[in-house]
Amino acid sequence: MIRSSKTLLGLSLVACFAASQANACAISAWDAVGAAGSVGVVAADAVAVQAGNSRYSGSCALRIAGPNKFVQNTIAAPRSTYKARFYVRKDATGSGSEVFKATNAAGTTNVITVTYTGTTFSFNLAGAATQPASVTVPNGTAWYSVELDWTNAGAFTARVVGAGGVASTPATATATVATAETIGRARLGNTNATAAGNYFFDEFDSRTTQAPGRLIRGDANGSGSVTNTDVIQVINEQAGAGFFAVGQPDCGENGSVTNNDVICTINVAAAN
Amino acid sequence: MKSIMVLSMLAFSSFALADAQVVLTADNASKGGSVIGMDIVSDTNFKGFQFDLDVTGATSVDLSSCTANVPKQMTVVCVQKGNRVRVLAVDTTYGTDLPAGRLGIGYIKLTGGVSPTISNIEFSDKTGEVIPSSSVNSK
Repeated sequence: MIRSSKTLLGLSLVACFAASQANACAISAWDAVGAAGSVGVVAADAVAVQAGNSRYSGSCALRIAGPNKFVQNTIAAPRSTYKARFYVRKDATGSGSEVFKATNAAGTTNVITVTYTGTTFSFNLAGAATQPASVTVPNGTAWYSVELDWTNAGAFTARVVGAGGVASTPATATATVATAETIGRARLGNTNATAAGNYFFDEFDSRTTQAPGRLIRGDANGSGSVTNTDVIQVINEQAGAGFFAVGQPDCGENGSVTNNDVICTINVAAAN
Repeated sequence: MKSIMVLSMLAFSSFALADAQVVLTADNASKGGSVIGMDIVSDTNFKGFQFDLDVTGATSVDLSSCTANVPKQMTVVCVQKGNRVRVLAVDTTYGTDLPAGRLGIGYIKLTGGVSPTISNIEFSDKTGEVIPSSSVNSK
């Protein structure tokens, strides 16, 4: 299995201070940022979680403000199957834009393009006689996971879930890809040159076989299950005293950790 | 006749003192039914706990008093899913915890002549860390 996990946050530095630790977020795991091919141009902001920022998991996320700002993953051996997952959250700025684009190695064919306006996810496939249906979502500023499953000259499925585990409408968007193609690069961000739209991204993962799947919402400590321990970590984070859980404390997936997430996590822990 | 099942949470080894215990007290009083009292006995402060009771074989399960004795600052859940009853309680006030000692939880009523078994016990401290423990069943 080929797996490429770009968590966007690369916990690259742990600096020790007198009585605390500070984590620096980085996008150095990606091959390029900014305009196509302009390696080293810092056009995307990797930010620590703080006022006005948001993350889905861990302590960092990728914040994109404005057009033509993205990170890029160059795939050494272009893939004929591609299973990817990322989390995206749009703020109220702009009408929306392309948030993901997978191309061939040369970048001349847009194999998969995902556009998110805040109300609708749209998918465009190269070589598809009929494009997948658009997916509508209930909360324009919530976190959504986007799961893509693409096969060269085969099937395509996209699944969007978020805003507290709510399945979008329709639950999945499917199509048939008639033209043989491979994927050699993937870009995450606002990949359109002009369209406005500010986004947060987190937990990108792409593979060739086993789909990454969703992370467990409410699993604040990242242990793989939701228990009373996760509830306590959500309580500690929502108190605003500087504690940030390493997992997914935003159980309601609305972009901030509040008392509602405490209740949400209790409910998930009780039901699982 | 009362029988007591004790599930001990032993720190690091079976030779260490117990950090916390879930104590079930079964009163097999009448007509094939029993009242299972539930208590926590802890020698360390804690902020939350949960455990599952396997009630396989019970013909009825009454959870109406499951969390009757839990302190008011705790948010509690007692829910049945199939043969499992999950009890979860967390002190939802930031920065506080519950002192070591004995804490009553409540009781459940079972019919069918079954003795519930405990699993998936987890105690947490106020930092959200699991209190190191292992479990031993005894009667």
